[in-house]
Amino acid sequence: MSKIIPEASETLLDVQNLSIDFDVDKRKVHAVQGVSFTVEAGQKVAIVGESGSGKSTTAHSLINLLPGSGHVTGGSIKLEGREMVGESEKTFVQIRGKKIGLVPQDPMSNLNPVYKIGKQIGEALDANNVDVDHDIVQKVVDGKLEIQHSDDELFLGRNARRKIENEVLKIWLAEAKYNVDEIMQKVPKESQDNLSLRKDLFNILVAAGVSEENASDIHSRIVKLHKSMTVGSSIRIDVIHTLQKFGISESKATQIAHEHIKGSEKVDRIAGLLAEAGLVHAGQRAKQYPHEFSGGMRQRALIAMGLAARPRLLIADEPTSALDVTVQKRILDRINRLTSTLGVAVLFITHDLGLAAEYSDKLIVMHKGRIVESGASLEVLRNPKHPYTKKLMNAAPSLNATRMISESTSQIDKSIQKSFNVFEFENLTKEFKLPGTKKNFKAVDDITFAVQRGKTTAIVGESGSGKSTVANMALGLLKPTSGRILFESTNMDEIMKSKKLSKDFRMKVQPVFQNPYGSLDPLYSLGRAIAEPMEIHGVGNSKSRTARVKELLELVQLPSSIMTRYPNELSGGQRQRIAIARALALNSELILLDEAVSALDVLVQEQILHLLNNLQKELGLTYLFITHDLAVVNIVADEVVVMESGKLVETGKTADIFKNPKQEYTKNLLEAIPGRNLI
Amino acid sequence: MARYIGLRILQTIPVIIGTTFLIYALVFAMPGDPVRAMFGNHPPSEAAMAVIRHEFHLDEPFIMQYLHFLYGALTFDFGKTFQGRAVSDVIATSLPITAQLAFLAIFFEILIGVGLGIIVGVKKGKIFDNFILMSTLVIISIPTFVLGFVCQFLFGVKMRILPTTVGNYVDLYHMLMPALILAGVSVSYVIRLTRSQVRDNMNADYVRTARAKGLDNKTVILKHVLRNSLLPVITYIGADLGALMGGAVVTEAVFNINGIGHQLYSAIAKGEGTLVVSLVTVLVMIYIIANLIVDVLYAVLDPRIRYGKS
Amino acid sequence: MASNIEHFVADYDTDLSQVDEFHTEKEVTGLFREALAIIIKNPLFWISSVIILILGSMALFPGLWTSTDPLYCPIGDSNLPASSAHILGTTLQGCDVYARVIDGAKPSLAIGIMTTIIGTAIGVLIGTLAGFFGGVLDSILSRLIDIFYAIPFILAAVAVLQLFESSDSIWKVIFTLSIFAWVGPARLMRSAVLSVKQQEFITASVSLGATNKRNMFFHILPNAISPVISTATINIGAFIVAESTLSFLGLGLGSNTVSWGQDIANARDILVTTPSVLLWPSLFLAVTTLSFIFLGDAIREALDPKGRR
Repeated sequence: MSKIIPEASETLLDVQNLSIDFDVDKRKVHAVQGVSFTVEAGQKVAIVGESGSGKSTTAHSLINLLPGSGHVTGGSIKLEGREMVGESEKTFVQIRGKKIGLVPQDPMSNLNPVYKIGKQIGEALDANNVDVDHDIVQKVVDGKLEIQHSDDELFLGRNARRKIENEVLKIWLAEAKYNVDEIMQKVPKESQDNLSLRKDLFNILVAAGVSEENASDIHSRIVKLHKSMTVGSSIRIDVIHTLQKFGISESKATQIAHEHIKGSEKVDRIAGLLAEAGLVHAGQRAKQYPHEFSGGMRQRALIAMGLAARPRLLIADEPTSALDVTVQKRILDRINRLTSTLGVAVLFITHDLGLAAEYSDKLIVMHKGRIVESGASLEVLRNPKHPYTKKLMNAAPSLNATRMISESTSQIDKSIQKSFNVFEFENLTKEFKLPGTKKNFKAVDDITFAVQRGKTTAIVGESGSGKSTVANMALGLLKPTSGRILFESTNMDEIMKSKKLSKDFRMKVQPVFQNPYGSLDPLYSLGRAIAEPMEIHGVGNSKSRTARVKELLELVQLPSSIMTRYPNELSGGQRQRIAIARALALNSELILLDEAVSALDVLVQEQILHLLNNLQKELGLTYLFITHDLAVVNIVADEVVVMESGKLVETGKTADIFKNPKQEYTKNLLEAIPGRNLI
Repeated sequence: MARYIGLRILQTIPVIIGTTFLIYALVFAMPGDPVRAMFGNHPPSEAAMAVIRHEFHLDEPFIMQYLHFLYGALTFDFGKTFQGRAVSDVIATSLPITAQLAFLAIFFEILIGVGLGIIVGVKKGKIFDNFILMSTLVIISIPTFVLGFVCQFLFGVKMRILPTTVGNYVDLYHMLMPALILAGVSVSYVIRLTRSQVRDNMNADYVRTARAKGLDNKTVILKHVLRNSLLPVITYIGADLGALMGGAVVTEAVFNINGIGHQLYSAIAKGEGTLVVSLVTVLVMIYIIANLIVDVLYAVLDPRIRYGKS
Repeated sequence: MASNIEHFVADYDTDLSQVDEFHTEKEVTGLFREALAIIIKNPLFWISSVIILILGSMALFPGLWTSTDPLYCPIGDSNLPASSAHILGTTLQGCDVYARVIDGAKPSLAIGIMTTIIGTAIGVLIGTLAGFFGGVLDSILSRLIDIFYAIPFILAAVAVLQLFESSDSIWKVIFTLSIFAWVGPARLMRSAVLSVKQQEFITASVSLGATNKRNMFFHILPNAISPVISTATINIGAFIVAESTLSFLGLGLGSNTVSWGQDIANARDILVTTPSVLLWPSLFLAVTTLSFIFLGDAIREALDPKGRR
């Protein structure tokens, strides 16, 4: 794993005036217009932009994998000084994997479900003629082929590791003044070859006449040595260093390494690549299928794949946008470390300015197919010049440390007799049956907290934390297994049993969901969608409803003429505004926002958050905000509830939690917020 | 894997019971006298009919009648034809002929259907694509027997390159045209399915990733696009066996092939109700078992099912 | 390394004033309008519609097309070539081919359309119940669907139809086909309902206080039905083929009803001498089926949510 980083800066990739078009319904869409940038060898460059900025398109054009009708219409892409625009597919096949690797966006869809992980990584080795078995080197002896790799590129194989360990074992025995040959003769034949791997090494050694003290010492050292050498990833020089660390002299270590390390087999190399990408038990994992992997594990496999043939440039196309924040951090750290050691340049595509700045030397900001600003990452982040960059900066929740606008409790009319807490959750537990077994699984485990009137309470957690289950119970869509929920001091059980009470509850508590494309019935006009709650609850007549719809549209800053239109005509953000208008139609008191801004671009997200904030102030609304994004919590929530695997980790005022997190998990979450420490 | 197969077999049992019950109920529990219906417009004497009633256990309660029928079906004892020949014997002589016809048809489905489907799916030309899609629709819309007559007339009568009927000559040369006709509609569906599968998979993320690894176009298509595209096609071909059996009745009638379909056709013509039901039952059971095999095959090819939830 | 990276700033020519503004001048395009816009651009839609209308007029008003009695078959007129009296010639029995193909439209269309209506109605009902309520009801209905689905369509129809004494009523054919015609739509509807049920707008609607009934009829059914509609159109063609196949096997309509399938079967005997007798009913049959398939395909293309958002 030790490769020398190129000393002088050498331009690896030089993109000049690149333009890319798509043909959509016989129209030309200019996705990328006159983009120029360079990537030096070993440099980390990030392209930041919202959806539609052309950032991914630019990246894909580098390896000639533009989707659909996309094609380069002008400009130049020079890789190591060679012009790639207009090159044949055959040339690109040679470039891909070998010169430019790709880590794609969605780990769920980027692995072929029918092949084992190991096989799919092996393909990357085979396709690029990576000489793992060193049979090519063997043929060099006959003078037929060129040498492909230097000696040091020989990887440690499984058998080699075993043999080296056995040799070291003997050296240590000799150092402890034992007659090695004598002892080895006493060792049972069947365990002589794999002595170092045996769990009962201690017993074997003692039986062979080694003192208990020495045996235990040697055993523990062997285990440590075993863990320090990675099959398929460690090369000769690494092994020599490791052996030296374990007290073997340099000359002896070199001799052992040269004697045994003659290249690993492909399976070992695949395991090594997976281990490098941070997968534990890589050897066994390689034999599994993608569906047996979690999202984070799949992404690690894809990283191993992207780097398998040791490319000079790695394109990381939003490699973590589908993953939880803590996983995201681990994955990006891994990519960063690995590429730095290997001297691989990185082109990092992301929508997150903070993330980009944290993991790159150079930042490129794209907007509508053009570069608006670029420069050294910290320089751009601390001193943004272009208004668009500034706007992005201001909108990025991760780069803003304070609550949007001060709390708004003052607006509430205290004279009305209302409970202080809208919701109280007491020892709430929800169990689900695990399919195919008789076991129960606690999605929510004994949590207690309250939602205060007029404030924003955020439940934050990663996938599997149980936050959405809490949301569904709060909406009365799921029944708790035990514990209870009080809504305005009335037990939810009672509310759901009574027709009148539940009707009243449905009018007061309204949800807004995550997916803007799924939360509106595509067959309903927007006016009808907003009026639906009024229709269901028989509020007003059609005329008054129409008037109310107009009012609501104004509240969410949409023209009232939009009433007759349909959801498919709107953008994601506009649909979320319609969903908010619908939630407000009945003068509701609490809006449950279930990841309501998570799917939106950062500027649109900021706009919606502002809208929500203003509405809260104007109408005295209470928000229950369910999210995975701690950065967003920071700028909108008054109270935070942190959840992990169904349990409540920590709860308190937002400012307190952010300044002074008490639990390790909360600290990890906070640390995972990208770019937080850069400003 | 074993668990999946076991589960799948267990699931098949209620379906076999259900289908045989359904056929039985539809045919023998219809209003009116089934024995009289069996003989159409020329009923035999009351006494003779009583004998038949007893023979078919029609004088017993309905559920007993069904159990007798099911027992018979499972032991391949379907009684005798009007001529006194054992129905199982009829099946034993005619089924292999139909099997040859069906296997040849499936071979064409795979060869032409999958082959052309892949070509159309991989090629980008719009005109060729539209032409093939149109042609498949035209073939789908022409009933098998019309297609059969037309081909008989064109290739048999006019051009004289292929025999018009099969009769006793059960060989590849004579079976060629009937098998092609029988496969016709299915081939069209297979082309369309393969094409759309290939198209979808060509744009799949994991295919792009495979290209990004540095695999060449040939390897990408062979190892990634095709492997994944053909999984649903296999299921389709299995399920399509049912249509093939229905088609075999027609094709065998058109080309005078002495297969099980032809037996069915002549049983209909002669009004031998019990024979018709027996033959249909056998075909349905073959169909269910064939689908069971296809499902197991699918599980072998798709690890998600092999290891996944039931 | 970072120090020598140039700080580039583009000209401020990008309009950044509005975020996510709705452009009111945009054309109104609801889902239906969009579907309509797609379908009226499809030439196959027009061709198939016109053919179906013509066939419909043949079925409803055969008098508009011919005044010859298709059942008047003087044996002396056997096997005549085309002439002014018999513009498409006569059959072996001496019937007028033209009058018979015109008259054959009625039973074919009636059986195709009626079977589709009955089968789709039952299928939609069963599929919706199974998909919407789930649980035990779904298990029972799904097994029922499995059992019916396991019997090949033509074989099933053969087994049932041979029970009937031969009669000229089209209803026995419609009845028999309908017994099995509901399975496809039921499967389709069940999976469509299941997928619509999972959409967030349904959860939203439940938490707005909408009743089960309201959700089912106002949200789920309208959203789930579109694949069933296009398939049903295609099925009309499929049932017409099924009817003709049954008639060919001697199980369909009696000899006093004109049927393309029967005429094709009868033409077989004179295939070598007078192929035109086979040609005409075959052509009508194929064109009819093809029209419904094209129409269904055009509808599917217009309603398919894939490829547009």
